[in-house]
Amino acid sequence: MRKALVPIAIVLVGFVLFLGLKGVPFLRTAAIDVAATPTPAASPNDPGGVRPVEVPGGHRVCVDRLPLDPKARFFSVTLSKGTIEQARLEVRDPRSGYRASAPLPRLHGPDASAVVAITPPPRGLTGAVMCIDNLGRGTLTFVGADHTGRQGAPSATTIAEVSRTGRVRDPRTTPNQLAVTLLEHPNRSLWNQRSSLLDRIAAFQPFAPWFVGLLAVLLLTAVPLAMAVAVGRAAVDDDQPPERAER
Amino acid sequence: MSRLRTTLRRVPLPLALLLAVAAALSLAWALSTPPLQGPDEADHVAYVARLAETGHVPLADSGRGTYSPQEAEALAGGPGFLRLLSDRNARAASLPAQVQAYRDFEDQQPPGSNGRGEGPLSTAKNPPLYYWYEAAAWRLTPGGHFFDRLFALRFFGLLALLAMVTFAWLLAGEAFGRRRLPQTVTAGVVALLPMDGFMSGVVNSDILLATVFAAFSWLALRTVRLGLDWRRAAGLTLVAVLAVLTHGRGLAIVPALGVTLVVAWIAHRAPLRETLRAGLTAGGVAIAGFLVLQASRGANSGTGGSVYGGEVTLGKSGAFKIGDLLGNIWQFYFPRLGFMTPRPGPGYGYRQMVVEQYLGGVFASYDVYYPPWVYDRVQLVVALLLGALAVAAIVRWRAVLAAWPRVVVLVAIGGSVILLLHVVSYRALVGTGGASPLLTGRYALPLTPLVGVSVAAIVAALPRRVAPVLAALVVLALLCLSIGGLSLNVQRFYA
Repeated sequence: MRKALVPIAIVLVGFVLFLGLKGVPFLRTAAIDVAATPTPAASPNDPGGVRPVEVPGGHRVCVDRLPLDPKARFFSVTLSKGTIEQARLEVRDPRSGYRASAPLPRLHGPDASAVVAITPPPRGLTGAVMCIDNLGRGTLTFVGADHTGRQGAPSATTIAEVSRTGRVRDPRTTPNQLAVTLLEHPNRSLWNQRSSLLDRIAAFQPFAPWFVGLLAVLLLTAVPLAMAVAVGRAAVDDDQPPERAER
Repeated sequence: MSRLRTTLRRVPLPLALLLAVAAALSLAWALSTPPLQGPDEADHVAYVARLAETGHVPLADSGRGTYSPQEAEALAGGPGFLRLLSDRNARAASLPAQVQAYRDFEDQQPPGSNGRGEGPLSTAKNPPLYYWYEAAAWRLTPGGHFFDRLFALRFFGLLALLAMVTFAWLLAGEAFGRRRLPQTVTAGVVALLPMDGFMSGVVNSDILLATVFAAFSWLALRTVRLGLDWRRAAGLTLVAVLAVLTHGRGLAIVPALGVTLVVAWIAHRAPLRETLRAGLTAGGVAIAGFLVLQASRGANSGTGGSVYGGEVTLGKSGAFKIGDLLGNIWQFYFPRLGFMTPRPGPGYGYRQMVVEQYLGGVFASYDVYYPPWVYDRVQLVVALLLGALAVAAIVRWRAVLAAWPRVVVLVAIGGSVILLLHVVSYRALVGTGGASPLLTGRYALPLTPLVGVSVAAIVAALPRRVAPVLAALVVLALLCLSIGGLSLNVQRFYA
């Protein structure tokens, strides 16, 4: 049995060290907690994929067919050029009558993310419309992406003029789609996202989130233990006389 | 029942544990990789759906629609899984409202609509064995919902991986004479290599091809150990036929089959009558396999009637030059020598394909990968292991010489796979003017059991006190790679 102890110890201690040195810092990594990316999610780091969506002063940009969820409390759009002096984000669902709005923070481009907290709907929706009213004078240029090809999403982006009375004039669909991201939280560690991660992984799979969680626990405990025992037992078996090792 | 229990009790504990580990890792890859995100997964699924629902193979170059309404909606509709393939910032759809909307859409589709993906389909040029295998999973799925069926297809990949681990164990038993530690290392490499787990967790014919190669490798060593008779010749040829019916790259098994039969005959000098029986049986099985391949080819009118839809050729006549091919292969592994023609195409060689895309691993549709330092370490470890293998072969040269039939057969199998990949890549580079090397890490999956045997050979050559230490370190490294890869996969798609 002593011969088994060395490989078992190497695998188990080595794995614990791996978890401590790499796993724990990984889980502590703070990141935006993305609930959904219903439109093409262009990145400012990938200039080739970015298409501008320009919203002149006194105009409104809208994106339709958005999914919403009670957990997704934040909307995020990225300003690539211009200064947000006064702008307002509104979300509404024509079918349920849900409506929420909030002002956009004052921001200067380029590549500044405007994260806006809204009152989420009481239940999940799929046909919501999000609009941003540019109430200032200058043009705001948001990060967008090409609507065609593989990145295409069912939602459409429209730009329209808004009068002082709130009347919408001359709406036109833009070829470039505004990149909108729904967040559960603007900044929290992967460890703190764990419950949401299990829900998301299980969403289109035939298993409940608890099963995914159980599998994750097994991967971090039972799997290394099984590998350690397999190598330890094999080492012991090879030391046995042939007739015993055959069994 | 008691017979089953007795059989299960005879499974060695290390193998049972390795199978459990392989199943857990494969299941984790299947769950953590969003639907249709494996390499070409959407097209493999479309092939299975068409075959399972209508009994017809899809068309390669024509047809009224590539995907069924259910798959098209999953890709480009509300869930939008297609967008994940080209947009690293996109996250997998997962909101309950999106799931419900998809279910509502699915419920509105008329019966039989799952089989409406007629073509054109890129995978339609593939032979049908893998898709027959997966069609069983499709038909057996209760409820008939698209995403449940997709998981069932992935689950059959898990079963293929379990078979591959078992064959690798048996292969090592033939190579090392039932020494448990080398067997555990060989099967452990197969169970823990991240690309094996990932590819078994998505829908792709490469995992079945790798499993068939593992079975062939085991049977080949068994044949050269026990000698050639008609049963072994038939079994070996049948497995070779299965490889050819799984994928065009399965053709690499044909030269390996020839070498195995010749080596088995030389090593045992069977009587002429037995040799003739073996030869005739092997020939009969090969002809039957060829007829099946022909029949499946005929069923797919869109491929133009050529083998593998024209994929298996040597390119434009006159363009294929053996000197260029050899120079091409050299430059894949080493810097170009002065007299060589520069290799056409992108800067793509051993580091990218073998280290990054195969032994380290690149997941989903090439958009989940480790940081560069991980691949640097993998490259260093591979170099050290290759050096150790060479030293072990030199130090134990008498044992290597005594085992020449096994060594020749294993080298023939590995060499056939590698040579075919290079020939096909060279042909693609010449044919496309250097645009595409048509060579990627997962194409090397059939080599995994041989990689395992190579590592196990180093372990077997070490003194008995030291061998378990190296075995434990190899297992630990692969385990950390797998868990790390899974974590990155989850972060990419769901965080």
